[in-house]
Amino acid sequence: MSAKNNGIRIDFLGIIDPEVDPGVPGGRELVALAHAAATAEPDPSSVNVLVDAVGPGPAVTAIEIAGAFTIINRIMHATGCPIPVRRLTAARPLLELLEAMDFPNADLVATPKKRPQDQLRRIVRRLRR
Amino acid sequence: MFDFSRVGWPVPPDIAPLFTRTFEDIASVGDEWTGAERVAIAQVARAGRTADDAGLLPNAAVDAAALIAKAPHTVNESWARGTMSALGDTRYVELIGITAATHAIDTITGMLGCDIQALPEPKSGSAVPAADNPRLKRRGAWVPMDGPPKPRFALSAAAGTQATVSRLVHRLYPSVEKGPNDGPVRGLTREQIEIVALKVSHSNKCFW
Repeated sequence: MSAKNNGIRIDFLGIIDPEVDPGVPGGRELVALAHAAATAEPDPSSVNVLVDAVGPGPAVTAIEIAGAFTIINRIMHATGCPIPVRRLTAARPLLELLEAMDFPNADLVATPKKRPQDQLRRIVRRLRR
Repeated sequence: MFDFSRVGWPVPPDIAPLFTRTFEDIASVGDEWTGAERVAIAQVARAGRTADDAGLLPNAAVDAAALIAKAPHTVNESWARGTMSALGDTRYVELIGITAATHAIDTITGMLGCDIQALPEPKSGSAVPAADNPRLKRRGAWVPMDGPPKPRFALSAAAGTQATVSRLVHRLYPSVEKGPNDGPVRGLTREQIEIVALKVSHSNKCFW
């Protein structure tokens, strides 16, 4: 994951516990803004606090990204798009830490398609040509 | 239409035209809904069930737009399938896209300290449903998709709306196409971006 590659260790508990610093510059303020954007009545005061922490340009970027994820979340919830099993396996420790395994659609998992043996044989024959 | 020039922070100059274009798309004839119906959906997404003053929408569409806008985590398979039975698959998917896009634009506009923008006058005309797409299948999701059950195909049953929403999402979250080791994106590191994405999703009880 990017955090590990760049030598930065994110403390993901900071996502759910305001007492915990996520470990990135402006982490607490980013969490607060993101939560504000997800509420029914977004409170712009969190933006001022974030501007003080990271600067105005990055704060606007954070707003854009929060907006993007309000779209993605709604689409995922409303379409029932399952999470691939490999991704779930890789993300399970984090999801458990964040208590996300209790989320409404946590049981929507896409398992790899099992192909019948004759179909597999046809594929192999095609590849061998 | 959108104008962020008076915001006290540096809003990139392409955001206002992008939002304007998205609202104009919403007000245009869609995949199966008319422009007037699409604007009504956006109004319900914005203001709730009572916003469909003209009664343009069937009750199932009003309920769906209101629910997906305000409490998307409460949508379950039984409800989704019932709504698709009432509206049709493409109309349901199109409604999801309109609702999500409107809600996001309003959220961003509000967070920038601006009043939400009025929706444009709807354009006239009737939708011409696309020819049947044999690739549309329910591949593990509740809605049919023109590809694997992944976010980028999630709205593919309503191709025009998918294009509108994809354009919006890809501009707002360019990390979708970037690798994990790329540099900062408009002043935020990849880690900071992940924090924002994770918290929004967690707050919305979204597994993605």
